[in-house]
Amino acid sequence: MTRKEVFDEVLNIIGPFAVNKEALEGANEQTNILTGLKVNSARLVDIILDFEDKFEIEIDDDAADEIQTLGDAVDKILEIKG
Amino acid sequence: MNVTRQVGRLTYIRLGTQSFLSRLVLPLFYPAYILLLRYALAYRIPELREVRRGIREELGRDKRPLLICPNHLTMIDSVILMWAISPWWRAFWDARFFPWNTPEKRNYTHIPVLRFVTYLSKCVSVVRQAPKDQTAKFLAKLRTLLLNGQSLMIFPEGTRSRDGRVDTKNFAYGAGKLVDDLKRLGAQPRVLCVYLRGLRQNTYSTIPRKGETFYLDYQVLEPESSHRGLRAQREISRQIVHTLAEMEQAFFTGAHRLKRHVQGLRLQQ
Repeated sequence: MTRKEVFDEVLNIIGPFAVNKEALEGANEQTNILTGLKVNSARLVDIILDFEDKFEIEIDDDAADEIQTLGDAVDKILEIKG
Repeated sequence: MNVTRQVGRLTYIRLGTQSFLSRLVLPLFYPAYILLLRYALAYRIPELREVRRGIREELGRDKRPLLICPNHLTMIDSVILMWAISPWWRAFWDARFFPWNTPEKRNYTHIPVLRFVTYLSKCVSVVRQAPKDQTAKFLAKLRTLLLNGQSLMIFPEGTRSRDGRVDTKNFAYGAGKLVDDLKRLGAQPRVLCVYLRGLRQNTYSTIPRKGETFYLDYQVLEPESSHRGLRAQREISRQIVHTLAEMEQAFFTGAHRLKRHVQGLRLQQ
């Protein structure tokens, strides 16, 4: 998968959880998931698990904690997928 | 580090000191709470003795880590529940019946008298969406307390139920994380799910109405998950919240064991 494809898929997964729909439309790799998209922190766990299911990877707790922005999520997914 | 001590020596001593002082002032604080609840606010819990005995029998003498997970409708739920689950003298002798609480720091620490009262009421403040290291230290404190025979009251929904019903969709996973962490440490935690509701309580509020009569139901759970990590935390949290939702369903459909009693109370009102 290319970086662009992963980014688009990440956006698709996060979309339903984002409260700030305006920020979602103009989102880029620097957009913060919690403060920018206003995703509830408890839902971040659901998002990580959706990443695992969609990309068939396993993200451990420490790696999950490092994900702050959409770019972090893409980096982590690509890193784990190898 | 000792498994039962998940924090540094200084924090461990501080928690022990807070626990000791809280217990020391309990014979003063508890009656003050009761005066407020029973007489100033005229609250009633029918079958209080039966409820307390039932909970005591369910828990037995087992000193495994205990999380008390209630539904959440008002800001004083934890005080009402403390009254509901135990008389002061039992709370004094058995730490499981005098649970720790985790109020949001921003709600009270700017008021000195509240800071004083909450300190002596076994409260450890939580900061929502705190930095990772701060959250880790906070969770380590809770694990330490639970591994040392203390109990913890934590609202699994994470906030008061905005529509007055247990939120089975947007709940937090903190309770599940704690249970999962404790299991990984080799402990076998139990969860006392408690459903508390004023009969005139339609939605969430700051405090229940004056003269309110409360319905209370409970169930002891030993949550299990075949998963690990985040998935286990979610599954365990889901089990807890769904147990509360089932008790709520029983309340509204009248399918609970106190059916006749509650109907009687409604008729009286």
